[in-house]
Amino acid sequence: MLGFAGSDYEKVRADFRRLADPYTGKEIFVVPAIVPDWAAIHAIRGDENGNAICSARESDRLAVLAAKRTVVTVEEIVPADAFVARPGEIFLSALHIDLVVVAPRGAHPGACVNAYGIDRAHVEKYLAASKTAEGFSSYLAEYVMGMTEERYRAATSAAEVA
Amino acid sequence: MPFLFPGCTVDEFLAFRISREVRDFERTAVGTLSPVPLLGVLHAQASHARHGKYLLLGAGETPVTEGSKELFDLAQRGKLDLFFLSGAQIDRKGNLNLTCIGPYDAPKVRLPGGAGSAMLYYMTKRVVLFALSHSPRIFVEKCDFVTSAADTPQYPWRRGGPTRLVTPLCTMEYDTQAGEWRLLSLHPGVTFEEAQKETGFPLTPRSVPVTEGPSPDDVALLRAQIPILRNNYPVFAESLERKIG
Repeated sequence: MLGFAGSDYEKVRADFRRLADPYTGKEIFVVPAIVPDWAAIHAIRGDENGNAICSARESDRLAVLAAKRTVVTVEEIVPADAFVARPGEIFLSALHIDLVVVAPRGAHPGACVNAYGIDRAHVEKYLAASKTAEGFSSYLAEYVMGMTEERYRAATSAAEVA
Repeated sequence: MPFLFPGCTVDEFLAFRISREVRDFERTAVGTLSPVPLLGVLHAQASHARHGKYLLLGAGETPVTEGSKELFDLAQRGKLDLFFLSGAQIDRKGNLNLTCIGPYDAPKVRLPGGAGSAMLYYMTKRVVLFALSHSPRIFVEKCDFVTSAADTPQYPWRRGGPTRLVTPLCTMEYDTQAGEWRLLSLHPGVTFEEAQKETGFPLTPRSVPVTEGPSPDDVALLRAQIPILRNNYPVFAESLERKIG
């Protein structure tokens, strides 16, 4: 990594090392690679061969390529011969994926590129609820604990219009 | 302490000053959580900087396939001319704090973190800082934690750094020789004493020109960009529209 010198990260991150670049002789920083045990991302589409197409704007694909194992949830499965990445999307090979799970609206209340936007009302509700432990518990009780996919979708169906 | 400029909101005034920093034929990027710089760069792109190349996170279509990694790599290769940063604290020497208020081990407030700014502050040719409010809590003598360092003459790998600072009271320029901010202009109706009172380090020089604000045409052009802001900053866009009336 270039730059970076003189920041207080140098004091608190002993694992960030300053050394001479063996090719140019200039001082650079090296940082250890992050290797997650799992990456879990939500993609836009999958095909029958286990490939996925995900957002190109976020670092979803990078997380998948870094992780030891990966689970990818997808909005839908489409035929392999119609499997094309559109603007804002990028192909993610089955080589990097261990599990594909079909989960329509799986990014809710977040957005899914080219599929739906953020459910703002729900996010605001969560933000308000999570300010206190009691509020967070009641949010979990209402939307998460013991919920089935069908009941969650019914409880948040206003988001369909987003 | 809001100042009032006839015909536009404070955010539009700041966005106009941001626009003035954008040069044609350059590569300019705007990061996340930056609606005011985005508005300013969209104005520049629609007026004096039509031939530039833009990587505008939050503007809908973004010409990248690898997210922020692509932005970071672009900067490290020396191909990013202009970027925008802010900080919970900005100090006299131009350092930024995006990490924590208070000691690192026992912070009063834990902030989201630097997200690449420690590198971008070195590798972007010009970094323009923006602050949406101006107070001694933000403009401090020394940052509690230096997330991004401005003044490191001993380190050879520095392509660029801070050049300008735009706040609701004034603009400052970064003096690379002294490694400190210099007052460049005061916004209409703002006195030196007011700006000094809201700044936690000494301002100099005392006598500076009045900041040039946007013309009615510029304000109209800024407002024409609001639909693009609505994609990623619906709350900001709504609040701006409410203020415009």
